Amino acid sequence: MQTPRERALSAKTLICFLQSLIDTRTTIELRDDSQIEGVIKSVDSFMNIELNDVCIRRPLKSSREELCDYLFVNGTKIRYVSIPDEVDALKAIDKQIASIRGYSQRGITKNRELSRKKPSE
Amino acid sequence: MSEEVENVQQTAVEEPLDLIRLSLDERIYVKMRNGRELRGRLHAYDQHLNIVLGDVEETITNVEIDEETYEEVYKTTKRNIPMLFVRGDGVILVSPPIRGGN
Repeated sequence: MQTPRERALSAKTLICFLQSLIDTRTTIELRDDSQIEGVIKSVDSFMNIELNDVCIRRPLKSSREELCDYLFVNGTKIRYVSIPDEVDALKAIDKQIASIRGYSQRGITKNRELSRKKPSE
Repeated sequence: MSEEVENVQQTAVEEPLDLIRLSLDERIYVKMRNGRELRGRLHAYDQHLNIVLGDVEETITNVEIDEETYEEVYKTTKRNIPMLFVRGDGVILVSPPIRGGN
């Protein structure tokens, strides 16, 4: 689970867009030119990405594909993320930000209730 | 008077990234590290220059040295990608809308 600080960082940058791609199959291109296709399971505020059902393609070493069930990608090694055709980027961003706001507002109301309760107690 | 001020503020360029805001939904040119160039429609960006581009054409330029003549040979390969998220740390420059046949 994300901390409130991480959520705020995600909402401020395009990390929230990558988070909207959770559970979709995408291709990630790394700085070493290898391509990683898989289903995104999580994206944190450093852009580290966890994938399932992964297929790794390395252009120079061999044309052979490597398969694995789980892969963790360091965010700093990412060059591109190709997005499937059916995703509407702007809608996805709006939706994700709304859900992040929902979290923070729940936090605020909770705090208010607490602060109201305190004097009476 | 106050309306005028507001209008000015909406389009005013106060920081460099505001220039990119003016290019939202236009075709832009992005120069990347490792001799990569992108042309595509700017959907979104953030302060790290992470960028979401649509209808992207990527041009990769490699320099190879001819073994006999030692001349530098530039090889370009192109590919098209429908939509692309670009991590900001690879971006060198972003250039506003491409006019004419560029």
